[in-house]
Amino acid sequence: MIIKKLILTSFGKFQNKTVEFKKGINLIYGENEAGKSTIHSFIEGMFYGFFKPYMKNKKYTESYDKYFPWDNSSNYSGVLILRDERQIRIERNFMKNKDSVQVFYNETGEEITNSYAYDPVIKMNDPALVHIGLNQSTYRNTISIGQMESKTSEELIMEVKDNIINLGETNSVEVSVNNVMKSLASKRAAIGTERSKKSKYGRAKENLNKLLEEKKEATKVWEVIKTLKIKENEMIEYLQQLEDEKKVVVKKMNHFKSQEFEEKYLEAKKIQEEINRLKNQLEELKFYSQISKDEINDAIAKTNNIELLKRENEQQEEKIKEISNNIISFKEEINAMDNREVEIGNSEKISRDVYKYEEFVNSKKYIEQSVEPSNIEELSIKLEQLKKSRKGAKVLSGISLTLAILLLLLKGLEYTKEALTVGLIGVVHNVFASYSWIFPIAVGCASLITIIYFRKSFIIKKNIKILSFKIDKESNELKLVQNRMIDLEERQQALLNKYDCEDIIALKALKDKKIQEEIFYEENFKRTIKLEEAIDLNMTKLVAEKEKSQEQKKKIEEIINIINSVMQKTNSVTYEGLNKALDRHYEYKRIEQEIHNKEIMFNQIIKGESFEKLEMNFNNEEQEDITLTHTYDELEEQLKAINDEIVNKSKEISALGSNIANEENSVRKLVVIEDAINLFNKQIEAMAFKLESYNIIEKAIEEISKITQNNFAPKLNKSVSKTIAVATDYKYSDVKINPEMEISVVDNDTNKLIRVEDLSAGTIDLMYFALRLGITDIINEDKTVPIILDDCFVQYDEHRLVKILELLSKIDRQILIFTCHGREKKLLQRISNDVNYIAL
Amino acid sequence: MSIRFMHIADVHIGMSFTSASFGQELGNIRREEIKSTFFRILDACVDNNVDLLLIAGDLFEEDYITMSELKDIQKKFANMNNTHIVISAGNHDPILNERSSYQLVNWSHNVYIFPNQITKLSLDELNVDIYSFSWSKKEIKAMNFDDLVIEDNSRTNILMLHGDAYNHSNYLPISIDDLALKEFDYIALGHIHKPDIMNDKGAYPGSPEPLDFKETGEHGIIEGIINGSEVNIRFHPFAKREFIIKEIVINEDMSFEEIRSMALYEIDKENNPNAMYKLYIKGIKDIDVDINIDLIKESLQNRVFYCEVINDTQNNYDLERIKRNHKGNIVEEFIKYMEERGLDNPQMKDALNEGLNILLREKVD
Repeated sequence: MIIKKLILTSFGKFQNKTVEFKKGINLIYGENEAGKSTIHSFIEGMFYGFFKPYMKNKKYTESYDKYFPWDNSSNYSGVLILRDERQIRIERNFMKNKDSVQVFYNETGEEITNSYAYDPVIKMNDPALVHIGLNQSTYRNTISIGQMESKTSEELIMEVKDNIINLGETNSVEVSVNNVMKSLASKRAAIGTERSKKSKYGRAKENLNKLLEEKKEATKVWEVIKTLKIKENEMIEYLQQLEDEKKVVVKKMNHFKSQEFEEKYLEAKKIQEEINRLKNQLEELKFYSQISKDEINDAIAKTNNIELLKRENEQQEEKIKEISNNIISFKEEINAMDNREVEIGNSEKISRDVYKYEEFVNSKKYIEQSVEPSNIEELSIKLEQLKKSRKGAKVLSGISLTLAILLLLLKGLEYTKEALTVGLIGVVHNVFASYSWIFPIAVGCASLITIIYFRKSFIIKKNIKILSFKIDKESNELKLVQNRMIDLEERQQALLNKYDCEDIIALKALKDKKIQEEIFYEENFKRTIKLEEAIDLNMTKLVAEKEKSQEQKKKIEEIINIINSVMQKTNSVTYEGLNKALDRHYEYKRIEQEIHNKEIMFNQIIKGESFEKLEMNFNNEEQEDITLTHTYDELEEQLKAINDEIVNKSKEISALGSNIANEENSVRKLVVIEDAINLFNKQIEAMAFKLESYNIIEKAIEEISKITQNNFAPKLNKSVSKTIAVATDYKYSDVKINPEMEISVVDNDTNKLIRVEDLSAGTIDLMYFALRLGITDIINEDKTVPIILDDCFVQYDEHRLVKILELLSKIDRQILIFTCHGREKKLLQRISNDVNYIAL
Repeated sequence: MSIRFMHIADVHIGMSFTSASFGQELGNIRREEIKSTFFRILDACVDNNVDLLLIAGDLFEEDYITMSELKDIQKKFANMNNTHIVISAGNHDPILNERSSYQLVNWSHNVYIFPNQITKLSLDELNVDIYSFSWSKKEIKAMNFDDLVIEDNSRTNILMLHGDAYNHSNYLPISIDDLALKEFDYIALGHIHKPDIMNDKGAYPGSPEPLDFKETGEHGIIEGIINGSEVNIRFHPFAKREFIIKEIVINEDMSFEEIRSMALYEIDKENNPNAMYKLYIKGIKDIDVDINIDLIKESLQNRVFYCEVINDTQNNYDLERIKRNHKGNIVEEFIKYMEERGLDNPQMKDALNEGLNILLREKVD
């Protein structure tokens, strides 16, 4: 089979990258990171996908993530075209959940996917087994060869051995038996062995042994305990026997003592009877046992006291009576008094009115004296005289005046003008004046007479006027006085009317009476207040005294009650009874003491036994018949011995008890030890189980290896020999692998057998390479699958590289060499013309 | 006159726990609990004025009982004046000789321990006759009951036997049907640890406290009332704890944490912190998942009194596929080798598993 073409649709750093291979050697070269490993992995992925093997469910390997496309990731897929019998086109989608494989005939495009075996876990058909013929692990371990590290010869030898051992008949080499054995060894070591005390297993075993030892010890102790317990039980039984013996001896001794015993019994009985008699007495007086002496004495004292208290109370009652009487007499006095209400001040009003009345009398007198009616008569006479004199003057003046006027009128006719300007008198005058001297004298005389009379009339008139005024005044005054008098009279009458009196005397009498009344009333009032105060005082006193009396009575009653209760208690009717009760009480106490004394005597006689037992023994004694072979003293001795023995045995028993407890505490409980033993047994069992599993595995692998090796070694010898012969220019041509997995080669020059460990490193490389090729040849006898070498030769020197390349050029199969060195190309150009160079 | 009685058996005081992997401490606790449950039963006898307590064998472990425990039992019995305590020894507490534990104690008057031959015990006070015997050896392959005949039919007759009514074992195989023909009013059985009322005449009370994971379900005592020849019984739960077996089935997609949560959930949902659990983890696990039983146990033990975890899972190995892929090489040969030797054998199965673990891990990858 050869791989024709790769199309990396979207894979790692590549997008739609096409790589074509030819038959024979293909050298793919490029710098680091150019993508050599990517292409290498792509080839593996195209055949196998990126799944973890052997799982019951589908799981992806790390490579899936490693070559996840940098771009266009949804198209994580590729195509591989190979030529086997026909050209085959494998298309694979790597993408999770969409992953699939399709296979076609490349020329016809016919899909043949279903003709490949279906893997139910990854749910895909598997083209690899048909075209490669190896499973993935074997593929990796044979035809796909990675960088050959600079391994020590020892490591290389180990790997070679592993490969040989692992070679199956057909198609896989993948398990390192060596590692399996190492793994088994370490697992076994983790458990360990019985001999290794530090190992888990050894420790468990050791602990178990210790526990078994402890169990043995504890079992022994348990037997000791049982023995002790049995001994204890025996002793307890013996003790019981001793007790029984003791009873017999005691009985015998009692029998001995029966005489003495009888006396004792009788005496005791006598005392018992005495006691019973006294007890009967006591029973009779039982009533007085509980009474209190103090109470009775107190009661007696109180009976004496009570008379005194009663007398005091009587006095108190008298006092109360006296106060009550006082109060009554005061009240009577108050009741006897005139209790009419008298308005104080009436007398004073009347007095004032009397005084007023007298004032009015005085006023009247005074007014009467001030007015004289004779004056008015005199004045009236004078006035009449004046009025007569005034009439004469008036006539004379009138005549003279008319004369004068006539004279003046004559003159006035001459001097009208002047008459117009001068007054009448003047005119007259003028008129007179105007008529010569006779004339003036006539006028003058006429005027003079006129004036004189005129003047006289005027004075009279004036006097009349004064006089008539005087008369008016006098008469007015008189009238006023008269009015006043009337007014006063009325007022006086009003005052009298006010009090309904006929005259002032009556009024005065009334006044005196009122004054008398008021004085009397006031005196009564004062007296009453005094009496009431006295009543209040006495009432307060009365209450206090009554209270006092009440208290006295209460006290008396209390005392009587106390006395009565004591009397009741003591069942006595009289005070004398109390004394008797006291006597009985003392009697009771005395008998009680006597009984006590007798009982002491009784107990001294019976010495701790109960009287009933004594009585019973006494009665039995008479019936039972015991044969006595020992004296009393002997018996006593026996009893002492038995008692001593009982004490000793009891001590021993309790010692045994603590002994048992000590023994039991000296070891762990058997069951606890047993539990621990069980636990370790379980652990050991589990470990032994695992160890046995490991033994089985080891044995199985050894057997399988041997069979495989036996079947396989000759073929491998042949194949490896062929390759090694070519590679070493027939220096070595015969490789031998013996059943102990030791590899050796025949040195053709010396014809000696050389162990592989003794070969040079370069030769070991060749051996290793030859082995790998040999194995693939054997696995795929009828198939030449490509060999893929990924930077295998980095560590090789030129000489070694040339050897290998020469070997490769002689192999009839497709070889893919990935390298970053120009070295291989240069060397190959020298070795072969038929090399396909692919630059990345 | 009705008589109250209790019937117990298989208390196993001082039991060593071989099948449950109790540690030292837990074993001690559990032993104390068994003892205290027994004393609780005795208290119940006193409180309920029980006239008769039947103990049908295996009261304690002859090999492991201590003197102080015997004393405790003796004292407790001695304080039960009103209860007749009737004991027949079983195969775990047989009376082998005068050094046997029953013989080492001075039992109080109310305690009766049967001798080695079938004997009648007459309790005149109760008008009850009890027929039984004590084991004097560790095995009884067969026993003839032909001569066993009720002597006085006017009494209530009880037969008490410590034996196996289910299997023809070395522990006194008995036929309950044959014994029923003897017309006892009640047959008090012991030896089987699971309670079973076999018919109205006979019953196993089972162990009052369950002793290992075979003894799941309720445990307790039988209570009964005798009225002449009429015997009425009922089972009365008395155990402090219960054994419970649980199982979870995992798949290869589950991580360890998921498995652990599943285990916790399984136990948590029961909400029975007093119980003693055994949890089987079954199913197929991913080859890379390491089920750390100790970690799971640690989480569980905070939640319940006791929990055992058994990893019963298998790696998700597809043997056929592995064989196909390794046709002809050591791996296929190895599988074949183991298959030929029989994978029913747990040792071979384990060797195959371990071997594959190593072979496939150690493959040159």
